[in-house]
Amino acid sequence: MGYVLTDMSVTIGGTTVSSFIRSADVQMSVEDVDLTAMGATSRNHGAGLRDDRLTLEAFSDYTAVTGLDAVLNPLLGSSTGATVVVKPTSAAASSTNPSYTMVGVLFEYHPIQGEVGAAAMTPVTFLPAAGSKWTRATT
Amino acid sequence: MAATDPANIRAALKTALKNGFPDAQVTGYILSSPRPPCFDVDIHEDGVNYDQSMHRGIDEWWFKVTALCATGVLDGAQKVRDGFLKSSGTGSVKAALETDKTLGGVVQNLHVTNVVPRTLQASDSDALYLGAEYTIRVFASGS
Repeated sequence: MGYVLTDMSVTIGGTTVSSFIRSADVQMSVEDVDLTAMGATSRNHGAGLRDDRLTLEAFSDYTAVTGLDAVLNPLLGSSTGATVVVKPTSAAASSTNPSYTMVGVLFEYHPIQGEVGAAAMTPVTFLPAAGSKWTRATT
Repeated sequence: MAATDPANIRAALKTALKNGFPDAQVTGYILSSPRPPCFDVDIHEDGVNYDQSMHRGIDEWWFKVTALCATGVLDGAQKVRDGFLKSSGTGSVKAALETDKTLGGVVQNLHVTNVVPRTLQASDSDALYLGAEYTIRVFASGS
């Protein structure tokens, strides 16, 4: 059943930043390893390593402590990363509202970006810290 | 931040206009008996775009402020309107509205995006008013 996305929950390092988020993309992917051998009549696709990411588009906010910039700036390039959790809605995780969690390293962050007259937006990209990947949970 | 009440935005716009134009008539609503210089404040035809961010974070509101600069359309009235249309400085309606882009914390951000000239007729007479209609984009908390 389809639904309109208005209440997605996004927390970064324990801080809820949902109200800044215009769009989010929890991407779970596996590398496509070509295992095709001579004589094959079609490609043989092998499932390689996981290669997940989280991309966000958020309204820029420079409020001290709780603003998006205050939350994200200290995380840039931190190899230990921060726990990021995304759910379809702000309700508790459940079978109909699964949470996706990973330890993410902030790899891309545009604290100031935009054009005159437009809403100031902040693109953000988290990649998994070493050994981490999206984990789905229903509790 | 509490949910946005348009009455509070109207009141804040009224205050901003009063601060810039102390002698102007402004109630924060459409005036029933306008006496120029005066300002009507109302929701713009573009209305409200809810849910610009998740979890009721940000709604986008559009307001319009209609300035009635002077009675008649002669040179004097045009000069008054020219003063209103200035993009900055004393006498500029845009500058008055954008003095505090949070309207005292009522909204997250405000932007006077454009203005168009208007010639308006009084509802109860043949009087013409030279005016201008300002469009105001407001980002405000949704919860």
